[in-house]
Amino acid sequence: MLEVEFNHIYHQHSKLVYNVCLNYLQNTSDAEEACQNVFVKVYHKYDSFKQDSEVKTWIYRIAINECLDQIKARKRNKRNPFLSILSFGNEDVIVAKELNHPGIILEEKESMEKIFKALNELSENQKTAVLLKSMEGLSQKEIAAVMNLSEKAIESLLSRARANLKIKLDDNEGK
Amino acid sequence: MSNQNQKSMKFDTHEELLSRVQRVEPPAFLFTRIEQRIKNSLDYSFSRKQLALVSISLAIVLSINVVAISKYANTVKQNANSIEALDNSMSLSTSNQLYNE
Repeated sequence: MLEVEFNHIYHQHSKLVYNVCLNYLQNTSDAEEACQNVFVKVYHKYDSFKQDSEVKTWIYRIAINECLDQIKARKRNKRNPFLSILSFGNEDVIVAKELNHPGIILEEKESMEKIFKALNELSENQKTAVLLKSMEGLSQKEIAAVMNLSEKAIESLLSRARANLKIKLDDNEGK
Repeated sequence: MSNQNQKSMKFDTHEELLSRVQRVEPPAFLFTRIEQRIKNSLDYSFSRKQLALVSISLAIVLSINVVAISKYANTVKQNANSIEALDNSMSLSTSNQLYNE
């Protein structure tokens, strides 16, 4: 991949990737780490990208997968802190962090913390669908392309996610 | 207002809250870091040609070893057979017990 081409892709999509990572991981340092990994992957995989989808959709997919990987690594480290010390080259994986999202205004931080807590309890697919719809403002068609699912599947995924989110929020409020 | 309505209103505000989260500009240092990481990964990576060359030479070394070992095993077997034939032709005893003949 040419440097000029990469620069162009970075400057066109860096805000998108950083915000997806931030919304997913809800922490600036994790988001920066994930964002770096995403663009390193984009650089290495661009030549094998088959152009059967838009670059933006492809980058969205890489970003979401990277965030899911980070969350999995975080859970793994939380479950087994001893092994995380031994895992070489994975020193930057951070164990559960508190909400640190510069896009949230201070007055709304408390209520956003509750919503993000409930969101994090949803399944991977449901969380992705809600984040892409509510925070990224994507249409169902665009979400379907990113998640490689049909529009109908996204519709039912979103309605199930909304119902579950409602239950989780009520449960958390009841605690 | 019914409980159901209150709940759905509450959810609307939650979705609204999520959509109100502002988009943030990535830090300026991020690009330099990414460039550095790409550079580092290129320094330590091998090209396909290099990988193919290494794997071909490894395969050659391995096959030479296999051929050499099998040839050596054959000569050892042949030597054992020729010694046995010599013993038989000269009717030599192959036993170590010298006093029981």
